[in-house]
Amino acid sequence: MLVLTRKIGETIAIGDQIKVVVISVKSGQIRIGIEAPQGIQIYREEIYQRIQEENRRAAQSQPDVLTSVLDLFKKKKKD
Amino acid sequence: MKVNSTRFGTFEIPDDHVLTLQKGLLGFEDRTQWVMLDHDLEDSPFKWLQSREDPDLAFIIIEPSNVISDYQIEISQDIMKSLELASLDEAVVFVLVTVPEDPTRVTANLLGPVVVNSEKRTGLQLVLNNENYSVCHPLLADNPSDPSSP
Repeated sequence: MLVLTRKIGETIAIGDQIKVVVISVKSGQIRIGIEAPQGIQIYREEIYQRIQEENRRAAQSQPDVLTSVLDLFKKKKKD
Repeated sequence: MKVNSTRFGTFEIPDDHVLTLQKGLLGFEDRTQWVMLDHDLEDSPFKWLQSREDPDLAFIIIEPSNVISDYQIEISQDIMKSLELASLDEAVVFVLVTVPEDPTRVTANLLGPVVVNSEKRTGLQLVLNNENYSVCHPLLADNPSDPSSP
């Protein structure tokens, strides 16, 4: 991994289309601005991982339980 | 074409009913061919998303408007283009549901919605940056982010 030291306001360019700017640093939190072409998805990595894990959990869903879920769900909608 | 599934047996669907998820689902990136099935119970908001490539793999899905009334997503121009969508009104959005053994603990993943162009039969799972949404939003509990709930 390439490691660079930057000050607030300084930029890192990745290729000629991606720029990463350090906006502020406050009590262990760093605000980062990112400029990238439309085609590149940017997200917090832990969210990506959480969705991946939740997808795996969803794949283990219990089909037999769905009937009870549906009853509860309809009841909730009526309330 | 024939679809084999563990839960629903083998059934026949018209070729143009196959839904292609361009990058699969997160964690299941190599599964791109899917079939949407209606739930056989009456008035069910739930549907099944069955993999055409893996008989064991199926998800329960629901339209997010059934979960919270004001669900909103932003779709970049780039994703609109790759789904060949001219406007968001043409898109069908659904979220994956996790049904554990305790039915009261059923949740929906509001952070990773699947956006579909139903005419072109193509879709993508998004990763939202919206901090108000959760990957395991309780489906049955009262929900503070929904103003319509009592």
